[in-house]
Amino acid sequence: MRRISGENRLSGPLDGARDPSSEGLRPPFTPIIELALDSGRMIRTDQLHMGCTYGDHPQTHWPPAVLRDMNYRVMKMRNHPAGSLWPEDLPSVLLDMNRYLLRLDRVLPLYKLTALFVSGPIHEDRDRSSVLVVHWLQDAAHPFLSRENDGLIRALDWDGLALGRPSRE
Amino acid sequence: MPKPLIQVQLVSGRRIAAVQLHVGFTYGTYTKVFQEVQRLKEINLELLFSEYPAKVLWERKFPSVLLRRDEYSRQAAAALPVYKMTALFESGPLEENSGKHSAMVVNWVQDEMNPILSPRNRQALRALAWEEHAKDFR
Repeated sequence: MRRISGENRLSGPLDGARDPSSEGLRPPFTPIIELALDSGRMIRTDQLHMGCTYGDHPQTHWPPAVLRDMNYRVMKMRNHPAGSLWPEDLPSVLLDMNRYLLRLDRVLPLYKLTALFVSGPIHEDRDRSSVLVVHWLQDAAHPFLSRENDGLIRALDWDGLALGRPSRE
Repeated sequence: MPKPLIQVQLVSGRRIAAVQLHVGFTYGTYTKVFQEVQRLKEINLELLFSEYPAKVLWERKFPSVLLRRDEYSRQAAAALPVYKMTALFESGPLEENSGKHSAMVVNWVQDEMNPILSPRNRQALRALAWEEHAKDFR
């Protein structure tokens, strides 16, 4: 089953889902990541995928040419497992890619994270919402968005990168 | 193997490691069903046996379990925890010297994102009968 997160999502605490015998309130609903871009736009994600940057490959003892090739593959996100979660034609961006491209001879951070971010419309008259797949790399498994990547994502040019999802007729 | 996302030593002594993780909402796109207890029960039972997102994420068919499923099944009228974690775990082969490794998908639900594996779920995972559920893959 293919689902696009952000559509028809839960919109508040699961009050209605409490046990009728009263087990107490559920914790408040919180998006997996929600933040305000520097532009003031709010974005959020309801699904996130995380894996090792080089998959099952060990990260050491590669000759420089092999490392560069592996790094190129990571940059292209070819055959990324999370790609099957969403339609293939969604726009995507890798945070800090230009810096990684300048240092292809260096081992990349340990983990690769991918999330489909959702926000309000880009064009109020045409869109109901907008979406962008964001990839990022980091050495820590948690928090999901490191401080450095948090700063990078906030600086994103959302309106220039994201896809507006047309309003329903 | 690169540094795994989660590493656990099972009660049996076997070490397992998560190489991929998906984090999402337990109820996914369901929104308007929670007012009716009967409907909630039906959806909970469906979710407790759902193979999403594993069957979408991985082409290969891995065995799959949901930690504490029995516990949740006994309280089917109660809301499940908010977040569903799905991880692909790997370990050494079930058959020694087979040149393979064993693998399976483990799902768990919890109300917090940190730690990724809550103490109660870690305890349940440690008790997992890996040899009973996992399969060898090349």
